[in-house]
Amino acid sequence: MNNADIAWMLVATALVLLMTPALAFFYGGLVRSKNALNTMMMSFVALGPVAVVWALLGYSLAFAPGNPVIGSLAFAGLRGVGFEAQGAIPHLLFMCFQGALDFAGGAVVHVNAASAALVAALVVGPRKDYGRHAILPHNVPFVMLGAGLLWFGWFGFNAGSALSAGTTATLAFANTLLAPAATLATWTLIDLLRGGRVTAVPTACWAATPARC
Amino acid sequence: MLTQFASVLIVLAYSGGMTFVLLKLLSLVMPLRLGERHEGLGLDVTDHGEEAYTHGDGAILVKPKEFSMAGGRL
Repeated sequence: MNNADIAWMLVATALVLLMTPALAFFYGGLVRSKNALNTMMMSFVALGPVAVVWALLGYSLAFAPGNPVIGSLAFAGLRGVGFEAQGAIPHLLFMCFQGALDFAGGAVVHVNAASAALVAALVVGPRKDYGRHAILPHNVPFVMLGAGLLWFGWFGFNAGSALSAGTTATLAFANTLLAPAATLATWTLIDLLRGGRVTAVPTACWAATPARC
Repeated sequence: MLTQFASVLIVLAYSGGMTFVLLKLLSLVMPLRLGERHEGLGLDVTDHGEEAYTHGDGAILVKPKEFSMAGGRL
């Protein structure tokens, strides 16, 4: 272990954690004002119980030696999770970073979430106001604030997933800068050619999403 | 590449199917939708007793018992 790896992973973990309140702003701005607090709390409130459950149980079930499907309870209550090396960083920091990823999700999480969300939407059905009047984002500046903070957080998420400071982290960092930038540039051109102007909400969405690995 | 494509399809089918089953099971013990009035008022007031935006008088506070969380009574 060296302090450079540890320092980067401490910062990366904090960056990833910021993505949860960032999502709260992103989604909160997209809904109508009467549901703003509820939507933001859906993300925000998870910071408490999810972190506690992760530390007490989830980390062990995910990472303690077990069978190919699920881990064991060897690390339950953070037993045996201390400052010993886990790759390039202390085990305790590894647990924190993986816990932060747990909030923000990943490639597998997003495919899973997309499918679950589609099925849930089909089962529950449209809102009662759907088709009766326009349902518009109530706070576009919130959406843009959230999108900006998400992009910032993705640097910690993607470059931090190297679990050390080095060339792999640098490559992921460069991709996290350039992939959303290229998407943003492409979108603004498409929007300009289509409607003669560049709109804010889709621009924010395109900036926030493509950094996902 | 083909393996990745297959894994995405499998995850789509698995989590889509499981979500459907879980929602159907859940609907046996609680309603999946809010009542009409509950949905119309918005969840900030009904479930949190707070408003996101106020006009100088401060956020209103609604006592929890005036609304049921599951939305069945509204």
